[in-house]
Amino acid sequence: MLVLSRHKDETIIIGDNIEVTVVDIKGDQVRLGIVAPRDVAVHRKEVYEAIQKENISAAKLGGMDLGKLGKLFPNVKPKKDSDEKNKPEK
Amino acid sequence: MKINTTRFGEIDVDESTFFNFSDGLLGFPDIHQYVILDVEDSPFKWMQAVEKPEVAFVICDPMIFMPDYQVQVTRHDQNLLKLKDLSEGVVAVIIRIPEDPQKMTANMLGPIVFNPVSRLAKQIVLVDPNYSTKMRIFKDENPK
Repeated sequence: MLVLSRHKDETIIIGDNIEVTVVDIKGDQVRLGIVAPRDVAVHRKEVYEAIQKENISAAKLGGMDLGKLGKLFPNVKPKKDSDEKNKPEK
Repeated sequence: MKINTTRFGEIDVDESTFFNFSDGLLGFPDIHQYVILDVEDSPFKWMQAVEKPEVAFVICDPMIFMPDYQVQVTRHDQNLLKLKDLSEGVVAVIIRIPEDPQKMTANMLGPIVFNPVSRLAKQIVLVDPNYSTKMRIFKDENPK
């Protein structure tokens, strides 16, 4: 990992068009300002990790009767998709 | 085409209905093809990995329990999904169902956007602090 020291209001540039500026430092917290092209997604890493963890737990569900669970939504009549015709046998 | 699944055994599915995730799902970067399996009389569907029998997710249309749910799709993702218009996209969220189904949760922070025309799909990471990865779908009957 490349480690650089920066003071408040100093910036690093990544590639040609991503800038990260140290906006403020308070105790152990650093505020960063990020300028990046619109097609570059910038996220807190925890969010990625939370979704990753959630996906992994969700994939562990066993087979279950989702038809029965659908009745938990009393007011919902599921739409019939003409597009998706696949059905598990059971 | 016949595919093997852990939960449903061998099933026959139409290859033209597969969805392609070029990035995979977070945590499953190597699985690129999924097929959606309808469940009769249910708002839930299974999203089954084509190449991995054991990987399947329960998904659901979030509008059923959160009609004002909003997904911000960036221009980059719109292009990647080949969505001519954002309204062509179909949004689903992944559901986790614990032993007590009343306590099921939905991952509102990582919805999946499908393009039914191009058959491309992607899990989007939202920045909205009001959404969580574990939103309870049903309100507690006996709130603390």
